[in-house]
Amino acid sequence: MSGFVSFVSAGPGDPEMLTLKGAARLRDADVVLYDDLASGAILDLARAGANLVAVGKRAGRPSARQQHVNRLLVDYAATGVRVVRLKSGDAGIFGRLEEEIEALRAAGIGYEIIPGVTSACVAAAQAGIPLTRRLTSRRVQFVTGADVTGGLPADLNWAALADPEATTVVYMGRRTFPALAAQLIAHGLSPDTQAVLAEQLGHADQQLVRTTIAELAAQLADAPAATTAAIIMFGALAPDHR
Amino acid sequence: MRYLPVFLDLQSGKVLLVGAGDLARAKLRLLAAAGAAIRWYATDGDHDLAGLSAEDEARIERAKGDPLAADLSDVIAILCAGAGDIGVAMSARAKAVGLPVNVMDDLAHSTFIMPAIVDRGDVVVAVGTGGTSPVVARRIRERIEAVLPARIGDLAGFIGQFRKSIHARIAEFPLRRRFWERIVDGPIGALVLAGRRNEAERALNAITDHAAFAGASAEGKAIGHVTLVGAGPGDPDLLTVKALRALQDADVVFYDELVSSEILDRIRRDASRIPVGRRVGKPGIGQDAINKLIIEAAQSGQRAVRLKGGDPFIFGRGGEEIAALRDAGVAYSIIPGISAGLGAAAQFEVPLTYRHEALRITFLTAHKARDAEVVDWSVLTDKKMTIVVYMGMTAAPAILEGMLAAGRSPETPVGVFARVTRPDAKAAVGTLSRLPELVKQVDGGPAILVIGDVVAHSAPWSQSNVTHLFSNQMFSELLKAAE
Repeated sequence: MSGFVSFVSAGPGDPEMLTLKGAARLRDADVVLYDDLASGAILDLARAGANLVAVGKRAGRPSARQQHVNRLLVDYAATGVRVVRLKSGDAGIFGRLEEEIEALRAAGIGYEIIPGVTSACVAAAQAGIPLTRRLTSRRVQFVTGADVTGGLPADLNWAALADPEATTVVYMGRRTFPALAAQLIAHGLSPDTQAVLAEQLGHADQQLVRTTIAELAAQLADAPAATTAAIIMFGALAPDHR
Repeated sequence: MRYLPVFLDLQSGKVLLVGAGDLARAKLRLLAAAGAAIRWYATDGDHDLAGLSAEDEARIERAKGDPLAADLSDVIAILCAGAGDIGVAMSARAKAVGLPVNVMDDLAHSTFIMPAIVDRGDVVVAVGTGGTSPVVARRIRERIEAVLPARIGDLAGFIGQFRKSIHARIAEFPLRRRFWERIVDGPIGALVLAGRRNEAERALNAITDHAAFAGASAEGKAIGHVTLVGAGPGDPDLLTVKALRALQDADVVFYDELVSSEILDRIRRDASRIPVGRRVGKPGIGQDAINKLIIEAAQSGQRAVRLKGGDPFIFGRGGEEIAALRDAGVAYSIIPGISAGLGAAAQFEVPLTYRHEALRITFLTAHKARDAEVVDWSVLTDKKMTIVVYMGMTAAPAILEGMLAAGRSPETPVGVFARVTRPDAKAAVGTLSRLPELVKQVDGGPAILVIGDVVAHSAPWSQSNVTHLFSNQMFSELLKAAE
């Protein structure tokens, strides 16, 4: 008997932002593998007897290696149970979903992917700032601020990033933002370009700070290393009316 | 729906039970626990029954003789359980006099079926599966049992107790409903659910301005509100819990044509539904008219939902709506949703990001060829960037031209994903040079175009396109060799 894995996108962490389908899979799961970032109140949805396994990667802490996560997924599913792999935000956006899927495909284990609300959309909704606007912000791009080593990715597309008509959302980019901003300004983007830092999205202590890319870079350069998730939006942002 | 759930008033008459053995006794216990007065014909003559309270016993009449000759004058329903062939004859008799009848495990001779029941006093939930699967009904009942607070029936009774006096104090129905919602969702409801009904009563009696408690403005009207709700890509199960609640609480819903009917089915039944959106080729009422409608709805005290496909802030023009709401001084909130691009990626297993290969994603829209012409494709030729195009079917030839002119390889994998997450979803994958042709293969929109190497990792690509890609390459190699 072969098990089945449901990749459930948890959204920002607020159980209300989970999809109906994701919530149903969690309630039915025998085993839930979760990252710390997706944990908390959402795990309360799992039934009392479900086996909850933390496999998380968290900024600033040593994490289970991806290969270990892949093996756990395959091993649990191979016992014939219903496995939920809970991923924060949308599983397909910077979630390294592809590696886990390849492991399941190789092992011949069935799976499904349940999409979720990605952090960029949550931040935009919370800040009241649309990611696209007719005529002034035609394009929105999601980039990662950290490669596998944790540093700024080496081969960024500066022309696309410094485009004043785009809105850019940087995932996992707090630590590297000073370096990113310096390069953006060097590539012609105005230091006064509007930026929003969103921390602890969907949690009670959520914080949204609106500033400019230069000010944000200065602020983050002096900030101590943080352990919470954050995303940064910058570009042709709509005026702040909150 | 063949079977309509209705609730039978057990005080209006007797239930006639015909049958023997454990089956009949199980039904008897269920009926007795529900408070029914029962006339029981034991078809094997054995009327023994243990374990009932004296009160329940007092409502059971042990009838003797032929059930087919039973007095039906005070009977409101007939149940046959473990009755053998007599069940079929009873059914004929019940039908002849127009009484509802259930013959256990015999749909053909039944005119009603017994649901699985969740009993919380005044709150009763009946679960039916049209007689097809009692196991499924039981599983659903277990789920409901798990989520319904034990004292939810007390809460209903509590509201029943005050209903008349509140009705006299708040004349307007919408305001009254909101009053009760604040009671149910707030601390007073929590007190009742915690078994502290006396305290809850005191708190309710302490309310002096009922209209203000219900959220009325100084003029005595309810204060309206607009919620922009992202409906997600189409599958109603991809609504968020919060979005579903907004649909259930709405007085009026203004929706785009692209929102699926399965999602519209989740709107509160007596809410007004007003289509406002555009469709390709057909003009809608226009953004200004939409803004005006949602503002007017809120100003008249309604809870309005502006329901948009996908996410309201990704090509949803939600920004224009909140700007208008702000200018009009109308309160609003935004519930984000799953953008169609992410729905397509999940359904067709297109990893929009991919370690080392795809480190960035661009979302853009190209409604008409003209829109594609103003896109600066030169910044989008980056191999590590996945490009997701919304509403790009018509402009596909212009998109192809723009990308080729900017220097992106004609061999770049692309996918066209139509009606994503809906039952009739369809995908066509191939190389960039074939984009206009692929768009024609999906039988109409709306569709999401994905351009980038990651499409080669998608499910449709690995299922069908590998050979096609190889044959294309082999063909061009053959051509070269021939030249």
